[in-house]
Amino acid sequence: MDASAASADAAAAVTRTHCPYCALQCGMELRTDASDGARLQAGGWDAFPVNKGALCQKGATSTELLDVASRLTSPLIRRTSGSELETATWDEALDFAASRISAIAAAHGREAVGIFGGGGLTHEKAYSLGKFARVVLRTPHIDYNGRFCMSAAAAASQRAFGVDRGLPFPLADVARTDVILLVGSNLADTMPPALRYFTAQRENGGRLIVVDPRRTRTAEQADLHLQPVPGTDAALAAGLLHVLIAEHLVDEEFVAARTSGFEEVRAEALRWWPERVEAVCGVPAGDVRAAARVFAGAENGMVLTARGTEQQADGADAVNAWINLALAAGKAGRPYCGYGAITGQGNGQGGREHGQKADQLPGYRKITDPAAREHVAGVWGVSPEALPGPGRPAMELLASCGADIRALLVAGSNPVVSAPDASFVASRLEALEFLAVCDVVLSETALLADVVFPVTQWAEETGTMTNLEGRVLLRRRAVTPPAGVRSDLDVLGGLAERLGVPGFLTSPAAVFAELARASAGGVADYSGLSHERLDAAAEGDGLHWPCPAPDHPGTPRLFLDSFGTPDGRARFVAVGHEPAVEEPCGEFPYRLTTGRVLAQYQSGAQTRRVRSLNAAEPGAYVQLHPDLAAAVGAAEGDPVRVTSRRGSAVAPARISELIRSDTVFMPFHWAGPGRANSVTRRTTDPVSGMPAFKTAAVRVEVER
Amino acid sequence: MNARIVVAGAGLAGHEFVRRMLASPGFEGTVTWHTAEPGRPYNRVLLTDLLAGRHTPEAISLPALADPRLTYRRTPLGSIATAAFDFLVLATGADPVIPPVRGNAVPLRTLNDARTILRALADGARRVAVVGGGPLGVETACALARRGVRVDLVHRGPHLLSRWLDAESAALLTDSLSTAGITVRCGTEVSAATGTWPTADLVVLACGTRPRVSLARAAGLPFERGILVDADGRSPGDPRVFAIGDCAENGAVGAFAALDDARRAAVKVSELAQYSHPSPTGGHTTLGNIVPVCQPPKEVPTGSFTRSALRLRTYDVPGADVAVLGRPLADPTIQLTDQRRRTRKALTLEGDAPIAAALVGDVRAAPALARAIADPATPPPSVPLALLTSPSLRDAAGFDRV
Repeated sequence: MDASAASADAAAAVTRTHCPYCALQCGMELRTDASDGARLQAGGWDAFPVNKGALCQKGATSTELLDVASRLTSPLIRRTSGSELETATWDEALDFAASRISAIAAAHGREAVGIFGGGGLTHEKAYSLGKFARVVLRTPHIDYNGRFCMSAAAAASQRAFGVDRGLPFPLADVARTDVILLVGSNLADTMPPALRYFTAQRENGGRLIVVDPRRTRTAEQADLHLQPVPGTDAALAAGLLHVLIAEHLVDEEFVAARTSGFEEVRAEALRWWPERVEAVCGVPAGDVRAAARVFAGAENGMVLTARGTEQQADGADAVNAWINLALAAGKAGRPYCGYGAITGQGNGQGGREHGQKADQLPGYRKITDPAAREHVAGVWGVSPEALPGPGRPAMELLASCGADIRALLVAGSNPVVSAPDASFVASRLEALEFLAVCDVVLSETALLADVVFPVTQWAEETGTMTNLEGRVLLRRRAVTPPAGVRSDLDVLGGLAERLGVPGFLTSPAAVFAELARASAGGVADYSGLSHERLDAAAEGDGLHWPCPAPDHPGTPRLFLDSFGTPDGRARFVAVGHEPAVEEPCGEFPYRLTTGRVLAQYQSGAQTRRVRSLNAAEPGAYVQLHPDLAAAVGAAEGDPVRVTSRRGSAVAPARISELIRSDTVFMPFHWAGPGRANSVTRRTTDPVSGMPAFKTAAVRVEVER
Repeated sequence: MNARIVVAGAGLAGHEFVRRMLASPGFEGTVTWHTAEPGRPYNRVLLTDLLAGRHTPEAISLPALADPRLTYRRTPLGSIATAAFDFLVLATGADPVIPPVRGNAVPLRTLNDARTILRALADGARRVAVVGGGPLGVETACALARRGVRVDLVHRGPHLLSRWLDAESAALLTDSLSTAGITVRCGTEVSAATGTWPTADLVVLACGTRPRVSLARAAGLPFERGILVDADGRSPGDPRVFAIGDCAENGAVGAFAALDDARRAAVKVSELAQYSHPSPTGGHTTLGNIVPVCQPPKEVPTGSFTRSALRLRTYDVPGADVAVLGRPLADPTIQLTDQRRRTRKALTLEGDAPIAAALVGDVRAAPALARAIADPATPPPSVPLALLTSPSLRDAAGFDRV
């Protein structure tokens, strides 16, 4: 047992830790409730700066996850193809997995084995998966579901700033800026505790502009709501920039002193006059002008993007188009200004910093950079030449399963529900010779596996996370895991030993210490951090990276003096707008866009098993406008079939005037007939590998 | 796919075509891009912006297209007749219609025209007459008024935008323009020949345009007012020749149509170029030696929803916004007129389906109407009136809208 768990037990019954769900990583206090059969209860941790004691419905009910009836407590093995999953001992399961992996690597080469990780995994796990791939499996093929989440914003930030950190400032700064341009985020539903900062911002006299095809609860809060056709964000952003240029609202001084590349972007923006934007995006030209004037005219301003603008076939370009706007308005690189991405998964930020991504090594280093390879190989005690090169981004990795990828290890992810074109993805996983899954419950993906390892979750283990602000946090263990369950780190350690690499670290604190060394000198430098330091009372708020020395105070605000590019200047990136790859046509005349609801989280593997959450949102639905409902003959609650070129989903109609009449919306948290991802497309953004979840051409019919 | 593509004209349509062609996956051919106008290609839509003082003339250049497959040639249009091609794209635009004029008159069609006008303004022109009450005339008048110039807008038709708006709508627009310092005179034919000539320091001519068809005519390709084309922009006279933008006759005009034409033509040329082989005779097809066939043009494209019939750019002159969607001058089924705010919205229905709309003074509903009218996928509204009143006006509350 490590130090923090011991101290939690000593303090008897109260553990300060963080939520198992989204990127806010709200602080929570877990305490035993004697009146409720000694069950653990989650309450707010008032002093933690991000949520200040507030929890959403998901966080408040999170302790139910610890004793769900469907919890896996024993490894499962499918002994022969086509047989049922049976319980097995840990040694049996590890032996079986190791022998299958060895056999496949021996027969088809090391590159036939891949790893698919998750953005909800702790740093320790994510880092270890990356090291396991490169040092034990020696395969280039590792990627993770963060590719479906943050990759477009990450790629765009890298291009513009040379650094990718979700928010380059603390979330609390939001309350102190004058204008917020919030693009493609429904945070009122997806991360309710964050809403307080947006409410406070408006109470302080600030303005909120929301860009969303739907009039969401977040859009309801806005002073101005721009409602574009899904997938046309890059054109809309260019239109706002056009207005800045035409009306002499560009901060020429800032552009000259702190940026590069504006001339090309200026020329591109001049192709997007507001009336053209109106025709392409469906946003009134007057609103384009009003938004641009208010944004540029304010002293301070922020542009924040989320999945709506990012999960598109031009996701990275669209984000760069928004960043271009912030830069031209001089709203970056100073307090209460800047561009930020609202990260989704719990460790969506940290999960991509330490080697879980196909092209990266710990510290947000590039795997193609010889100096990076040398440094990390040194920490790992191998030669730089032994490290594989870059692998394939997530969608490509999944698509090659059953082809040249013959064995896959999945951890912290449920791609059968969360990946686009999910029927295709399921068929690829089924085509594997060997699939191993680490999960807490028997997820839809685990059901396809040959070996399932039951692993610890959140309050049963200590680990670190980095939230959307780049704040590194210690998530402390509060309870003893159920008998029969081990950490993903133990799974990797057990496999490594059987695959001939003994001594793979399994203690979270030790893994983190190694991670810190491996990250030293990288963009995301954690070398001044340790479990001990993060556990210290004085620093319960966590520390923002980069933190390159034990006495370094961390970096809450990036870019105040200079951006992370070689010349210190933020880069304008010239991007155009092409119509979505899949435009509506006669057979598929409408657009589907997908998203989230308050009471569920991602693929639902966790939240669908929590009673009150399931009661609040028991299943998928199809949101459609009354005019569209009338056109297809759907009444409220009627089963509606949404069909694309890939497949279809059926769910009850929810008729609402809050959506465009040419667009339908489905939340994607469910498996089975209501699986929205049966309909979405797996086309990816060429820059980032992000799939185009948010736009698919569909037809809509009532199921009779 | 090593086709030789020759493009004539470097306006919006030509630029968009070349840009898309070079971005077309797998394109290994060459593009030779001819233009008769001096200087870098520029965005003609923004010429009135120059008059309003929004940009410098240099700033409205279109993005530079640098590519090893591209050759840029400044040549007189006539010389294109001898350029060898596998595919030829005519994007030669249109000429301004010029009535008999006196010395101080200048059209507004090219960057040089805009420079001439700007010089006159810099030299002290304080009173400007704009001849022509069509779209360009109204936009030019608004741009100049924004600049603080006294403008007389002279139109030979019965009322402003007479090919687009009914008299009642035009009257509201006229009132709004007057408030902004623009004097409107309709029913007045301007001609130096007949003696009617406005008193002004400068006369700007906005009397319409005529598609440039000389190349097509010389080659024997079919044309009427403009060069006849099918839905992909192909000439019915020769499948290797395309015409896009203002020189083409395809049922749509203006910048949106030009961009749309360019997109369709680029898609088609990419597709054809993929299967084309260098000509066995050495490939000396030129406009001068093709033998056009005579066949009736295929169906003219019906147009996508981006082809809103008219969307004026009026430089924040209060009440001057105009949008006409679908067929102009259709008999309205529903009309909402606010005499005090000088707004009018008219909607024409065929059964329950919206087929046309005209908006003056308040055009927020334009994008929703454009879709309802032109995009067949948009379901018909259960309450058609709502199309004129939504999107919700509360968005506007408290915001710095103009």
